[in-house]
Amino acid sequence: MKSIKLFVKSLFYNSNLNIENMQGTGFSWLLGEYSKKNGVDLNDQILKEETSYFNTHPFFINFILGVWFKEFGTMEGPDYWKKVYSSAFAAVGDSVFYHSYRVFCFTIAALAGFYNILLGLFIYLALYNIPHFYFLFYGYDIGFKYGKNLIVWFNRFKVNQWGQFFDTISAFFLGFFLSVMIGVNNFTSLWHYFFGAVMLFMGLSFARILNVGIAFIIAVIGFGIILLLGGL
Amino acid sequence: MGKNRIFRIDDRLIHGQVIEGWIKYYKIGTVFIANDRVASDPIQNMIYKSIIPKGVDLYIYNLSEFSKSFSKRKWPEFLVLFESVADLISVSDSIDYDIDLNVGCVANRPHKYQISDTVFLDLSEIQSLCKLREKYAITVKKLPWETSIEIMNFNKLLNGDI
Repeated sequence: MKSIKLFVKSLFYNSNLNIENMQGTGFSWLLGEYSKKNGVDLNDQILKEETSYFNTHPFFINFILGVWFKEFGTMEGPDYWKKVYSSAFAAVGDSVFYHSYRVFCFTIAALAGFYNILLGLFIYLALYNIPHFYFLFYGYDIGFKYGKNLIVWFNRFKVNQWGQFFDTISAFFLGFFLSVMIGVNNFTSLWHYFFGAVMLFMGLSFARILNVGIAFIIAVIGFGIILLLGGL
Repeated sequence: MGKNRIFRIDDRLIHGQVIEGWIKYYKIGTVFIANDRVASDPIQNMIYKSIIPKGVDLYIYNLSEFSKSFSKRKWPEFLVLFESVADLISVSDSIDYDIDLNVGCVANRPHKYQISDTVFLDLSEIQSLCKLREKYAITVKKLPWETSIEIMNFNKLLNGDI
């Protein structure tokens, strides 16, 4: 029951994000919550110090808390590893979840949405949040088990290749999705394929300066509007 | 100005903005970390090498090694990451006009002034950068497509000379 409560609380830790200390306040707050679970007495001074600058990808926060408690009281102390893992997880999390996995979920959900809009929405939320919730729920225990060597656990899954993997699958499903859109709407002239390709090209161009998720959505919605209006 | 030959100050070294914003945007294939602590710590070495995207080469040096061995001619494009202004200044002999200097992320600490939403510098850091700025262009921005903040006269401003 305690684990579920802490899992729910960790969903809110990012809510005090600000430019002064980024997520430092949320980190300190969660530290206090986890210290109660572990029976570790963290005094006010420690909790105050832990409100200092901290920023990571929010899905990975509980891994870092696990490492923090494991390394608490060691020579190096927990803050050294807190900083190292916060930037490492920010790199992995932003790259995988914000730029790749979200697009993958969108393409799958969009395909499902052809059959039932609610089903598409449900699939998006479920797909996107399965790893999110898993990380938040089990992250602390895994982080605590491995401590500063946590990267060994992640290396079992080749984290640096996740983004590329999901990008590749998403590109395939996006092409499949556009083909299905064309097929469902019975628009099969050469112009439609050309326009679809232009939309995709624009989307990918925007992706260079925006992000892949938004770019794909722009491409697909733009193409969809053209089809909705009756084609070219 | 070579936009894919970059020296960047970022106290978080490798994180999301560096990978998505700089490495992928400029299609950089070679990344250096010039940092004494990271170079001497095998676990940190492993962590950074584990998260760098596939196809990007990562080299980790301490500052003196970097100063001695770095040769920009060997690399068509590169991103070198420094943890602090002091680290960058310590290898200033390696800087030339073909390299972009970027201040991307320096965390807020006591006695620091806010320069941008991610850069907080103390007076000595501002003065060091202003001195460097007299010879080389320096951008203050977290992502490549943002507008840079001009720091040319910041030290005078803080001293009340402007």
